[in-house]
Amino acid sequence: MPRFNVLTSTILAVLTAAPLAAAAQSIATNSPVPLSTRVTSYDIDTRVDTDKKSLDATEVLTYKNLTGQALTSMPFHLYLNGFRPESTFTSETHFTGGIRDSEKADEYPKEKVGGITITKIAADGYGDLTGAMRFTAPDDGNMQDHTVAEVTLPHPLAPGATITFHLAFHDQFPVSIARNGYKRDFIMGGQWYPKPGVFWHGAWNCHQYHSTTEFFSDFGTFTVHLTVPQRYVVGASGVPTGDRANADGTKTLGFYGEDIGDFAWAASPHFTVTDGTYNGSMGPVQVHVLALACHPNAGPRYREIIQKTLAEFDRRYGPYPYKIITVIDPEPDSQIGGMEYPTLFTGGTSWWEPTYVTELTAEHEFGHQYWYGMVATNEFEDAWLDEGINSYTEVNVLDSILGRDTSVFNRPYADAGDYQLQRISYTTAPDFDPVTRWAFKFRNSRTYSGVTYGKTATLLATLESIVGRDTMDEAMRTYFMKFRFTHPTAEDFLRTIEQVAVARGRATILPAGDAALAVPVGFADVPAVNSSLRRYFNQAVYGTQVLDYAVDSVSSSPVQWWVPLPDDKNARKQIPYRSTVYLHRKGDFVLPVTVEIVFSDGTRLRDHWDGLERWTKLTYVRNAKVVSAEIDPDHGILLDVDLFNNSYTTKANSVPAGKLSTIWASAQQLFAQLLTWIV
Amino acid sequence: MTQQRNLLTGGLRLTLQSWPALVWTYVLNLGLAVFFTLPLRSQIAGMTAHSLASQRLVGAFDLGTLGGVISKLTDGPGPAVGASYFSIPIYFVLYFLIVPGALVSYQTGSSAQLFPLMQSGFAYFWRFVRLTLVTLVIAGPILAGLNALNNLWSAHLEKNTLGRPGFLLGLAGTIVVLLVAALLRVYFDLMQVYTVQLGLSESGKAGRQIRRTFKPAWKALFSNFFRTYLTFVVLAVVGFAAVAFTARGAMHSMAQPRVWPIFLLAQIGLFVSLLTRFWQRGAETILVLDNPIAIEAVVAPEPVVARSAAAQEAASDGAEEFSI
Repeated sequence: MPRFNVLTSTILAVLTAAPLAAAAQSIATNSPVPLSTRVTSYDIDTRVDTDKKSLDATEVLTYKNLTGQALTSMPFHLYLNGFRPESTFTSETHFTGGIRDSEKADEYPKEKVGGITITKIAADGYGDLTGAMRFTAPDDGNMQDHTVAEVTLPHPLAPGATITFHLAFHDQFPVSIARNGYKRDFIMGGQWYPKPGVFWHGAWNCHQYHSTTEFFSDFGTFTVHLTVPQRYVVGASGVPTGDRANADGTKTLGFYGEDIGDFAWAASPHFTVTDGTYNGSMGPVQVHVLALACHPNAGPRYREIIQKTLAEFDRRYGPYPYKIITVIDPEPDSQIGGMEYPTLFTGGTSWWEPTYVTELTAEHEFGHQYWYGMVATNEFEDAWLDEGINSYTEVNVLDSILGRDTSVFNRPYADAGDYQLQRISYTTAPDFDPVTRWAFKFRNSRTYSGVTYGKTATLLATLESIVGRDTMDEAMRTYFMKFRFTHPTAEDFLRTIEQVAVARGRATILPAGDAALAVPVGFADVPAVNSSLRRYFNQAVYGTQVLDYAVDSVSSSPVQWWVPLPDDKNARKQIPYRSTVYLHRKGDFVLPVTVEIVFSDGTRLRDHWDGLERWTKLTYVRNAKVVSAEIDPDHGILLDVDLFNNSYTTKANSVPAGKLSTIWASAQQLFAQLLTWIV
Repeated sequence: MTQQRNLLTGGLRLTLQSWPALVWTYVLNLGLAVFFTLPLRSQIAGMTAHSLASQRLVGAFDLGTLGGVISKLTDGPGPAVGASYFSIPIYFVLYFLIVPGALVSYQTGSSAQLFPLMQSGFAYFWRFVRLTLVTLVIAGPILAGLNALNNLWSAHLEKNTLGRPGFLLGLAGTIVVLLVAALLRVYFDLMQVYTVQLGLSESGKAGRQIRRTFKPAWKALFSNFFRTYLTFVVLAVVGFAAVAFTARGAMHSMAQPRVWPIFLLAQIGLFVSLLTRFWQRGAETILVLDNPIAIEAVVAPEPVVARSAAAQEAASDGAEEFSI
């Protein structure tokens, strides 16, 4: 017996040791097992000079070669070098606009110069590699860019092997520009350390930093220590692991993150802490808000919207696995607001904020924890898969929390919904670029924003109306749960939607050879589905066709038009009328539509049109006249660039024109009166 | 003779006595704005009158739908928006005719109907244009300098004081600039009233009339500084407050399914604002009438006469001269 007991106990101990050990080790996530393939491991020690707005750091980077190939070189992103006048980022911002700062002036202020300098790079078993490092420009050949540096290895890194780099680097932060830098005594450390590119689809993927691009990196772990002056409060990615006061008036703070692809931090002496908790399906999440003292109401406001957003995302798409989400309230008048990093994001608010922009910004940046943070798409080549999908889910989540027509502004006298914001953004540039265009190849920053954010959100909302809300929700959840902690492509996303839609009977499989299947598509892990949704994807995703349907005219005449109309009103109701409705497809986008006809006797009829021809005529004979005709009566085809011509009512309503022209004329009067104060 | 009549009540009396000047000014501004907005209204109606999509502007005021209208207006053909701006320069020019006409009416009690107003206005038009240029030349650099100082203040606040305290301190700086602007405005208003007063006395050339008003305006203002400046500032504040208050009321009416509340409230605010501006001119006229400018007396020259040699010799001896 005793021998059996000892044996049983030993077996039980062995069986439970690994999970228990794993559970005990995971201080950063609520998962007992690693969530991602951890390609990288960073150990960074940093000393921040808050007076000079710079830092010196050492980085130990361990990289696992899981590419299946021998690697002879490794490219590194050095994003901070983008803040120089010679860089591609600054040049593009100057000539075609940036999404935050246009830099139109013909001078580049000294305080806007930033940079990262690697003073030394070596690798265990490879020696000093500093001399083997050279700048490259894989996108545009601008050798002055310096946002990509490639290190040639003296001997290859075998498949499955690991290399450990030791780097020393110096950062100079610019005055706040494009999510980075300092403003007053606030410092944002974003894209501040050298990080390798991603080996993706058989080759290194390490683009230069462009005016309209964001980032792409592998998953890993981060152990970071930041030394800052005592008076500073710091928020960073991952969970805090402790702090230590130093004799020189500084303190060293430790942070640890797992299964994340990036690490950012922010420091200010003016942060006030507001903490909350959300009990997620995987475990509790600390909502850690660092709001500025000049925004006294911001802390609770951020906390509340994030708790509600966490609940919505958990319910709709999947669990948030990390133990913390840190919210940074950015310095006023800086360009640091509205940016996402794994387990940390910057919001945006003001001491007086009467709209829901604070909530919208916070929700959007949190949403990036899912679309980009966990579903880590290539933001250079598939920007729509994070910004666009996130804008789409932002609308749905805010609709649930704040109301569809009131999610941006809600007053008794006026309101505005987020879906309209997205749609208007799309209509500013509906036909220049397809959503699949690489982020740095758009016509300019305006079309990038309008298409990547607005058009993607709008086309996905329109798709939702085609396949149904339940199908789309399931597709999004399936996509998240399947591709979290991986790097999916556009086709992975679209084919996932097709799979779910076909399974739920909302789409059919097209026969081989169908013209819709002729459009070339990119890489995917998901096998081709070839569903009827391809017709929509070809136009809305891969194409630039513009969707615009219109009711051209509506008319009703007595069938026996030659017979005088009776005077009696009741008798007139017995007269048969021939009503004609002309519909017109003004754009090149072909989509079957529903049209609702309302008659004077209250009858509502719905008809369908395939939209293949340029126009169609609908004719009705009944004892009632047509009162109105409306294409898309359920208002789901938001991709239509002109919603005003989608309907026609026989009775005119002058109130909208009256209101708007009254407001405009009154404004003209006021301006004229003010101008005459100089007389 | 100098008096010290109450500027507020006196100014109001003059304004109400010459009420057609105020009414015609208001009517012209409204008429021009409405006329030049008609094409825009027509363009908006073309989009919205028969569209169900505009319903969210009828029983509500949906900013997204408004955004859609604006987007289509800027996208479509036709310069309807641009054309609507023409009301402003036309009104500006008409104002150069109305103001002197009103001031003549205030000082003489003459009819302030449109034709006499314009007649007087034409007589003083170029003087008032010159006065406006003088105002810009003198006040412009002063206010520009103050604005530069205010910008330095704002930059200092931006570095050191954020949030609501920073906003309030910045607002204080702006108010200081506006108070100086008000002081300059009341001074040049007085010059205008004195110019009309000189014109009515037909004293001297027009250009010289303007030059002669610098000192009297200065003297009148600074010898009655507090009551003059206070009256001006109070009336300005009342006027702007009326606009702000009624604009807020109009804004709160935007979601109603009718237009007239927005129109009525906006027009009430604009009318009260214009009333206070005319009231200011009335008060300034009272001040000028109580402190009139001295009109130079014209003395007939002595006749030229011939002297006899004896008379010339007697004159050189100091003897009495006699004329032939």
